[in-house]
Amino acid sequence: MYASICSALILWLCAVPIAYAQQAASDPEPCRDDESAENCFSRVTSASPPDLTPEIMEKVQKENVDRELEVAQTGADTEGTATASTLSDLAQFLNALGLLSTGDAAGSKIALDLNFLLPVQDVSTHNAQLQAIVETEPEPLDQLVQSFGETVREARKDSLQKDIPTFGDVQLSFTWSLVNSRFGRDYSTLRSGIARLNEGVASRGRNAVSRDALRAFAGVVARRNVAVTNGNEVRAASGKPAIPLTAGTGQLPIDDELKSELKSVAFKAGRERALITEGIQNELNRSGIGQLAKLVEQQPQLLFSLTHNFRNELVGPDSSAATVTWEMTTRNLGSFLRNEGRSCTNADVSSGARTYDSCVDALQKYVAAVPLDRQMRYKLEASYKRVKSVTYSYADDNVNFLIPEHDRWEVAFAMGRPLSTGMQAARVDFELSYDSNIDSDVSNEERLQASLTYTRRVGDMDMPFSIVYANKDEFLGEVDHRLSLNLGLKFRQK
Amino acid sequence: MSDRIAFWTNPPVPDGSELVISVTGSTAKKLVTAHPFLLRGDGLEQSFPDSAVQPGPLTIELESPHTYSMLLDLVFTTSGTAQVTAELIAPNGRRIPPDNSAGPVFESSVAGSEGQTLGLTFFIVTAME
Repeated sequence: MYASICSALILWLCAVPIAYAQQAASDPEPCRDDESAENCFSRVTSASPPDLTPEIMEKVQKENVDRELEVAQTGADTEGTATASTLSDLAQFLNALGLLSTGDAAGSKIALDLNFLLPVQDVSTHNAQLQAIVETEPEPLDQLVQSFGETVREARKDSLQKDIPTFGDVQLSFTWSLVNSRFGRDYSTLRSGIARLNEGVASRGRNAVSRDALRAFAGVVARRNVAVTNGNEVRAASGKPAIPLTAGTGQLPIDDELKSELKSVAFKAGRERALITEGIQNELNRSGIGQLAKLVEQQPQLLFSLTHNFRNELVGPDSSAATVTWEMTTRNLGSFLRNEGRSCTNADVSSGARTYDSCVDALQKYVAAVPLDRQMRYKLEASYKRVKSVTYSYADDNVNFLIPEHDRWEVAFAMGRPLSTGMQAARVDFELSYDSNIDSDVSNEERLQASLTYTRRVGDMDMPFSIVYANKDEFLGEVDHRLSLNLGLKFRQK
Repeated sequence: MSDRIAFWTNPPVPDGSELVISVTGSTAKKLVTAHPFLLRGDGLEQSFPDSAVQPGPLTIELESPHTYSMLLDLVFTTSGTAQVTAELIAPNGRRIPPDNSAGPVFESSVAGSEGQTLGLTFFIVTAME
């Protein structure tokens, strides 16, 4: 007897949450006499999960854009996500032509997409990009400006500035990124693995709900169709107009028993469909699989780029460069699937079986161990540059010098991370850079610079505080307070 | 009625007709996966992988006399829009339009946000041989 009481208690304890969950999905009104079975099914189906009407979708898209802008990380850009902040009037026209790039330009620069010049397959996979970056406010070469006497320097600078044509500083850039399971944030490569996990979620959502009414509904509708046809024939014999199938169930020329069954099955089928959708949504949220995009955003990137700067000689010499950039994090989708989440690559995951549970368990632990948006990002970049020669001669001002053709290497290593989560998170960044010939002259003077930056975000403003080391003090830039030889403290407000 | 539901019940579709479904919406930057699940009146159930339907088409031969319910669940890994097309093709090659539909093909554009799932449902009744 105690055994049966315990069994009943266990059953009740199990049944209550399920019943509550089904109740909690909001209870739509049963099918009415003035609506068809199809319309009732549609209404009941969409009663639980919120539909994305065009208005809501517009709001969602706006929120997405706002969020992207908000989460644009402060401090050194170790992930190549800088966005344009200043555009000239020309930008609107270029945007209308679909040429304006959505990123990769900052300050007074405009980036134009020239992907239409590339082979279609490269563009469709987004692993190649051809861009022209136009400096809308080109300035005369600082080395040239500084060579004028101090008394005439500003006047000469203004004069030179006016002589620079509109397109006096244009960069043409071709970038190709390696896309495979280890590198790149390309869903066409990652899709099959993620689809397997999503299929496991869908299986779980479906298997948790009865599908009897969904299976029976079409059969009852078919019987209704036959009964309405027969009923309309009887009505026609007595001179009455036919009643369409789209009429409310209560108005149909069928017997009350079938009307009752139709309304009941339509309602139950609608509830089953809504609960399946809701079950999948709940499983997406519970498992963390609905957040996989965040892991994809952490994927390492390996980029190769070729650039050429077309410059008016007042701006500086033309130059060409080849650059390799490696950006990485330690926790990302590829790393997870190769290590802790190996079970997620098993084909059984799609059935929602036991392997699925071990996959979800691994994913939840992986994501919980270190918040993804707080992990360290690393960037290593090496660039080989060839700079053309240019001669400057202003006899009246006794300025006459040559910048010879020369080659230079630039190498930079950067690492950084937010110190907390959230939009207002402060972050810390370290950067070490080497330039084999900063002065662009024959002296081949090397530069080594290291900076440690703490960036605090206050509202929409970033406030970076940097400690900078350089092997030559002329490379320290805007120094507000000198602490010691070649060490500076910099405050910048943007 | 919702643009995520379609019926092919009046008249019942001929034996040997094919249900043809395709989904597009995934790109290098966007990912939405589609998960079709077929229920037949006699209890048969069958799921199909995303790769079968996207870009598809997934073609299912319908036997008669049966009733079918097709559940097509979309999972939006990123926000985006999925274009779903479903059509019924009779053995003679003729397209059979959905009930009360002006066009011969069911087409729907489904917009979703990151981490959201949305479902479409199709009901089909096949005629006696």
